[in-house]
Amino acid sequence: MGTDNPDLVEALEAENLMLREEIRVLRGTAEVADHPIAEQLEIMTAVFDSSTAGIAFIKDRIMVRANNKLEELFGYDSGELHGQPTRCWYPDEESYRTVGEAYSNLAKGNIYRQEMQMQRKDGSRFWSRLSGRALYDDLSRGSVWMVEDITFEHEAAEEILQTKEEMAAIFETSTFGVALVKDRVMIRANKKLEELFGYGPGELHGQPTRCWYPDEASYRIAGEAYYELARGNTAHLTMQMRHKDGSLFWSRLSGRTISSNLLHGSVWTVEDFTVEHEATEAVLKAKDAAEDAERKLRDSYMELEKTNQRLQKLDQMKSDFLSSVSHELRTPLTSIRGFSQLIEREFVRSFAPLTNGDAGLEKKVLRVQENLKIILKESERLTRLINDVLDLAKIEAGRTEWRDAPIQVADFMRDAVNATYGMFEQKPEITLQLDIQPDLPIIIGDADHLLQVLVNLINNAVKFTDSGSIMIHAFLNSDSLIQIEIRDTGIGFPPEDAEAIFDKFQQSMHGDTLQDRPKGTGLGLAICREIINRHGGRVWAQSQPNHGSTFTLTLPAATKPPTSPVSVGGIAPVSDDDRTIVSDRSQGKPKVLVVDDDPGIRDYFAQLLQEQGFEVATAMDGQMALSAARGFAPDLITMDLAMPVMDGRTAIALFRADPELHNIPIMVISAIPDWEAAGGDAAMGKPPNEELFIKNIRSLLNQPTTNNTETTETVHFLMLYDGEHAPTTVPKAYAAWCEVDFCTVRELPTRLCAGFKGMVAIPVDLLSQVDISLLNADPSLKVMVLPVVAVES
Amino acid sequence: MFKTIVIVDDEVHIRALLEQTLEELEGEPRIFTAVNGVEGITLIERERANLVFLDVMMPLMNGYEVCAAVRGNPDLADTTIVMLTAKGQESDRTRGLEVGAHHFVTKPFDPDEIIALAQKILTVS
Repeated sequence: MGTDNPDLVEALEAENLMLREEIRVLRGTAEVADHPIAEQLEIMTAVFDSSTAGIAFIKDRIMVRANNKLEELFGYDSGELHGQPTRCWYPDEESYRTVGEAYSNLAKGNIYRQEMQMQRKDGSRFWSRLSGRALYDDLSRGSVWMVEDITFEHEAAEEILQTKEEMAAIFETSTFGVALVKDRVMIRANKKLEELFGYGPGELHGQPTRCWYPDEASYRIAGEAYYELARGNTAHLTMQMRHKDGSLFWSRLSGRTISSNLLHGSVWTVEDFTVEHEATEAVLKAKDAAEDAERKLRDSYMELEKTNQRLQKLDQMKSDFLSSVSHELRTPLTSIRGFSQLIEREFVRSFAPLTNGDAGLEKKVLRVQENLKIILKESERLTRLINDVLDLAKIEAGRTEWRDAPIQVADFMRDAVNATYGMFEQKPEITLQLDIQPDLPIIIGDADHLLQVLVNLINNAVKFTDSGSIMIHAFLNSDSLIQIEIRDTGIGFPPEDAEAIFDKFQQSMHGDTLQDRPKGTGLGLAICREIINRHGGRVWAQSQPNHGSTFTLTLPAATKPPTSPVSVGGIAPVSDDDRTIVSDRSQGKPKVLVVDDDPGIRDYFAQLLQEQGFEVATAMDGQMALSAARGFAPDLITMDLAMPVMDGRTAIALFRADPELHNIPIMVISAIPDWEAAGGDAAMGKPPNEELFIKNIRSLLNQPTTNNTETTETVHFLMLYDGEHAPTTVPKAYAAWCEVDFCTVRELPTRLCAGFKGMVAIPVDLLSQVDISLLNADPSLKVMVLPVVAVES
Repeated sequence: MFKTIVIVDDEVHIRALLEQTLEELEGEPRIFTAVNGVEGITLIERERANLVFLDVMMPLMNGYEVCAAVRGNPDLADTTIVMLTAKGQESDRTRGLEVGAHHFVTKPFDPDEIIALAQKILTVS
């Protein structure tokens, strides 16, 4: 209790006694005087006891009385504070003194109020609100003090302050413009907002937000966002806003009410996203452009398709035209040539002897003979020209019939030399050297046309060489291509003409007028190039005037150079000792080998087929296809035609010639116009219709191999043909298990109604007239698209 | 015995050219000309021709048809047929062979070639 001052206690007790006496007297007086004072006192006592604040009566800074709440506040037991100095309230001397200094104020009748930290008995502190007043404005009569614990209040205030500070920091440092708006007037605007709109500090304060908008319409649109806000939602707007200087910028505007009450105002953030907007616009534009381009591409593809069809028609017309022109030109030419010859013979035989030594007449006879020779020579030249024009036209139109077969290089070179033997005989000054590397691989090609090339090149060499030699060299070059060089010691040509001489009607002028007229038709080299290109090879020339020229051609080899003695007939038989292919078609997934030089198409077909449950392998050219087929043992092959190294046509020929592979169905898929003549089992143009592609593949796979006919059910074919003509298409060869019937496009629905089941074969040129969806809808029907083969009658 | 040659061509100059060329043959063969296939087949049958020069493209009846008709007549088994084709038409040759032609001469032809060929055929037959 710390009361080691017995004198003071005694004095206080005495005083207490005195006071009680005083109270008693007062009560008595109060009772007498209608008890008003006693009642007052009672009220005061009640207040003292029930107060939620701590109350103390203090004299000389010593607690004379303290209510329970005060003791509770400071953590003392009941009565414990009685007689205690108030110093125990304060955490430190300074705050004690500070309050002490306020006493002088109390003496003047003022009320002292202070919020401060106080200390509990256990030393912990709490925020309190302290207020005091002197009794009778006389300090000597003591003072009453009230202590309230305001810890919560204080903390809340602190928190608010903190939040306010934070908000202010956010407000000012935000990269968005932020405005507090009430009734569409800015109450506050942050620095960023001022910056965005180009206003000076404080300039926006109190301004209506109308200044944000370029026009009344957008102001109104933004105004409609307040309906959203009123519903408690956040509004988002993207629009153009106006800078103070009148310039516009793209912005994102978001607004939200404060405390979900529009009356409290709303907060708006403004973000300039002009750059982003421009980028987005650019992306959109690019996307539009891409879509546009795609559409255009699709359109032009369709257009191309149409053009292609038209061209094919035109091509046919051109072909027919050329054929009749050829006939029409030949007839008069035959007369000119034949009659000139007859005239010459008759003239020499019957008229020349009649000159009788007349020198003038003899001269005229010679002149006539010479002139007749000119007519003959020129008609021969015209004949060659017509032949070459026709050749070239046919090759270019893809109408040349190529007869591809394995060719032994050495054989075919000897043929060429034999064919040109006559020319060498006429020019004994020229020697011929032939150097053929032994064991050259086989090439696949049209022997007649390749011979034509070689003969043409040798002829040229002889034609333009007066003396020296012509060397023909055939070897396998470092790229594993067969290379044939024809080198002469003739007049040559300027190097800059090396390309031009392969153009039509181009012959090198040899830099002077030495050649009074071209010796050939001017088409020979153009034809050579076409033929070699078609075989997947290349032909070019090198020369220097008067230093001879070298014509070089390369052709792809069909087989690897044989290591064993050369196999006659071309294809080395495949030994099946180590990799006998047992193709089990009844189990597992059907296997398809996709052959195409375009990786995109390979992937596309592979994916498409894999999705359909096929096992797929791919090869990028005919040669790879052959070796892949041995290992992979496909049930079907899809074959592109135009490919490097070995084209599809050659590959098909080799597949057909191979005892092990000849049964594999091959579906030709190509963009080149004569795909139908390539020798596949079916053919489709590029790009194929996905559905038909799969259907055709399935059709071909259901087709059993021809050597197990006994186990096979008969397949019924319904072959469509053009009603006006005889069947335009017949299958190349159909086996015993096929039963083929013909029907016109118009008859087809009737035949289907009559219950036809099986394979409907549609020549590709009739495809457009047939409703494929109708056929697809019937599961008992299969559709096969056939290439068009002209019927010869 | 005189040999008989029939020339079938719709072109008057070609007929004349062939006729004049063939006049130079040894053994003075009899030469007939026809301007179309129908006339041609009549002449060939009537004259039991040893040798026929036959154009392909003709009105009424083309060369193949004439050829096929000749081959279909057992009385004309000894008649040799030379077809006059246009160069570059390999299919002409193929079809000609199919219908039983023996030789092909490409237009424009060389009169010397015609004489050599005709001489050979007439000597053998």
